[in-house]
Amino acid sequence: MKCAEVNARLDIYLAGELPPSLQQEVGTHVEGCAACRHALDRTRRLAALLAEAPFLAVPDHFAEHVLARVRARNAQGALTRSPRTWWSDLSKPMRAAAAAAVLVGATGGMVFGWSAAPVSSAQVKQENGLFAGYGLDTLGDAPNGSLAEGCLALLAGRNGEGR
Amino acid sequence: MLSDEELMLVVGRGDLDAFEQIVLRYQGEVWNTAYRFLDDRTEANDIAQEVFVRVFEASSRYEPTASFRTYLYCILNRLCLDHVRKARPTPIAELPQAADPTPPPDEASLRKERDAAVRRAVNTLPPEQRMAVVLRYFERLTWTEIAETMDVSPKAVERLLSRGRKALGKHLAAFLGE
Repeated sequence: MKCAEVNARLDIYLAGELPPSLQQEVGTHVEGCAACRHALDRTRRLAALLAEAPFLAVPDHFAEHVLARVRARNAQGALTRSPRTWWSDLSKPMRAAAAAAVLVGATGGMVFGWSAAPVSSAQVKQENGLFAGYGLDTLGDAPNGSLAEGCLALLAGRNGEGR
Repeated sequence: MLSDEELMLVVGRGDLDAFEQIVLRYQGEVWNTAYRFLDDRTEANDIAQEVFVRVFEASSRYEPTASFRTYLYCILNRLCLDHVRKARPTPIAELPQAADPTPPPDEASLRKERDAAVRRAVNTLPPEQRMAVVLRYFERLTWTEIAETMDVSPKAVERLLSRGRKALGKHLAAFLGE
């Protein structure tokens, strides 16, 4: 191992955090190289000097100020936090499966609705008694292209074809 | 006593008491790291508080894939680096005249002078080197923790520490007995 490679790793070697084989390799090199031994010693002295820097006391009431900041942001609606929901508790594969199921259901429903033959509400009332069955009397005649007409068409299609 | 990860799950449901526990556990480390990096008490206070606010904001999405401490330092690292990039240009790598290391009358004065010299020296480092040095030598994060915190490769951490160490060694030579 070259001196430059050893020198680059001295901080981590000193902490014993290199992978075992590399730790040994650096150690062996240092034993046999005066320059790297000097560099290691210097690193050790620097680490000791920096370690003597005092750990400063946190300003008074720091935690209270943090909580006040959180409450203030919450009150302003500035916090973007959303409450933990069943969705966030699902694993990623489960979320993907749930999303796929919703998409398939929605797509199937749309396709089924579009393919159902449009019928008038009067025809539905007459042929299937759906109004009586589903309590849809209040709908009356639905205008063409309306949501009500579509809903009735869907129901008629299902029952008319025995599905 | 609940672990950090267990507490965070409770915080995720909006529990401010649990959140306060997190703050009390880590306020010292977070504040000191911010101060050592920024060398300004007011800025350190602001950044340190913001770190915890961000933790609370993200708590509903928190997943314990890494240690909470690493996660916390990750937020701190990002806020500190963003702050210096917006606030001021990269510090010049030259120090004012080095302090005279001749022993002053008492130990307390010497210690004060030494601490001031260390702060000045650290403050001259480019932001990424400074953060790596602070995390390693003051906060005692491991090499791999620093890599995770700073979102860089272990090799990059090696380089940052090596360059930071060399620059500090030059500025603090008088205190290293050279």
